[in-house]
Amino acid sequence: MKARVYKALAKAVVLESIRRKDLWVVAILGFLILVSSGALGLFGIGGLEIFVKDLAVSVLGLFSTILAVLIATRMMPEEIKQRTLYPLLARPITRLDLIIGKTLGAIAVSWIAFLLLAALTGLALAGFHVTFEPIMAQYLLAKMMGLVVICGLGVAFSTLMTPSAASTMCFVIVFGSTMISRALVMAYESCSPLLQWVFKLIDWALPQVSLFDLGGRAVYMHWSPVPMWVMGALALYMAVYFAGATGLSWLKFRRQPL
Amino acid sequence: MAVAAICACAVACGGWIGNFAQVLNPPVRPAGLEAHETSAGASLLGQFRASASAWLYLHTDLYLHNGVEMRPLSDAEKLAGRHGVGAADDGHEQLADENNLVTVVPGKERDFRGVFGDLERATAAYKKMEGHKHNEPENTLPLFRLMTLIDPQFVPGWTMGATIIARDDARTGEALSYLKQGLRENPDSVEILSQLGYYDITRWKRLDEGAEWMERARAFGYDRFKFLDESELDALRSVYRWLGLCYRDMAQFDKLRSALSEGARLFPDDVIIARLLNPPPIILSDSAKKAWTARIEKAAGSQIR
Repeated sequence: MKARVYKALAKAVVLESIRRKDLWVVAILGFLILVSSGALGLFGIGGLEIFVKDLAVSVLGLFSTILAVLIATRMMPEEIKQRTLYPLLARPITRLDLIIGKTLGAIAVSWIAFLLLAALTGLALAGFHVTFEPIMAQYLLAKMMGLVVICGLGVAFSTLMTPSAASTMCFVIVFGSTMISRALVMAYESCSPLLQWVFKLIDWALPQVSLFDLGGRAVYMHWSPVPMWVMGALALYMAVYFAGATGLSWLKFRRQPL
Repeated sequence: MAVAAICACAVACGGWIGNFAQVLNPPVRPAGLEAHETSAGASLLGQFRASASAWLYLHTDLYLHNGVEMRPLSDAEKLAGRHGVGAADDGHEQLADENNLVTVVPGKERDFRGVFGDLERATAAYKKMEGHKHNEPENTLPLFRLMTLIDPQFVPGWTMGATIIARDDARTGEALSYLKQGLRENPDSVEILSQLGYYDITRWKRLDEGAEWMERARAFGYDRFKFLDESELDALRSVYRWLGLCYRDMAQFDKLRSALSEGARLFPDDVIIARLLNPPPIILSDSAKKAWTARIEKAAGSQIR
């Protein structure tokens, strides 16, 4: 029963995204990728295969993250602003169902966008006979799990603050969490025990989005695929973080006057 | 890929609008205001070219380490007695000083993050780098060619690229051609001129031609001494040393004294220049020669601030 509700809500988000021409952004970015690869071809890429792969993976990660943040943080506030939320809540669904269904929709849209971009990038690289190793499949899978975390976080922020603030905060945390985490590691040993505990708490609370980025291994040569336990741990982390973020959204949204 | 597009466009613009390229990349840098200081468009494009080439330069390090990111130790870490991963174990030590480098992703023994740290080490391009080996430096050459194509005024792209080409003695001529191409774009570069001289002297034993390059480097360096950056100062310092050695071997003692006196004035703390300028008289015994050299070195050493 619930599954049908979530599916219907998620489908509505995808259709709305198509109607709003969000995926046109993906098409334009894809076109840019193809044109730029053509321009790069003018100069020849002999010996630059790794560099081209690195660029492709970086741009793919960047664009898909930006799209996921924008889709996730804008969705709920727009439903409220355009008053399309009322007919939805008039149906026999709870506010938690609504949040879960909508977040799943955001995830679906970001996955579609990511896979479209990945396909176009792959097409462009294939034109240059640039090949990837099998770990690329794991890269795609891990990145899709990372998008789940980002979407969960984006929806949570959008229920807590204005859409602009939510997207800004989401960008800062998603792009800054790696840097913050590394700074904590560097400073940890020279800190007092109390501060070390604070560092641990901050690190555990931060979304570890960089864990889902296997780009470094996918781009450079002869890196083995990551063990299955790692993929399993990433999936578990994704599930826990998604549940936490959705719970936070629900705590705020369940009593929010509309 | 989009970055590549912008790179490509920047390069294409340089060739397409010939005059614009001349303004952006004049063969000789004017002493007064440059285009990027007076034109917003040129400034933006110029900044982009500089950033792109610097970014590519940093990327060569990733190439060498097969994607493993490295960082220098912080001052606090050095004070705490932490050591870097140490030099590579493959004869590439001259490419970079890695004694103060550690991996960006920390090793398990220095990581408080527990399972998150384990996961990052498993998913990122990470491995223990003590006694590590580099990928073939020749693989980075296309990057050097690309960075100098994007920004011909990026001197490290020319000098390091030439160093990598010249690792193979048989390709010294190719390295010299590459440097001469760089010299056309940067005619007053002390680093490029000194490297040209270095290869002539050490590889082809052409002391007279090597000394000519060094003299050109010396003249440009002397004129702009107050404005040289750290790497140019290092290059100029070695220019005086090589000139001293060249003139000594060619028995041109007037030129030797002139060059070394000037070098000693500019670099009073340089022990090698001081020693070359004041060789022990041949009539002294071995022990007296040693004492002489020690006094010279002590005098130069006392100049170090």
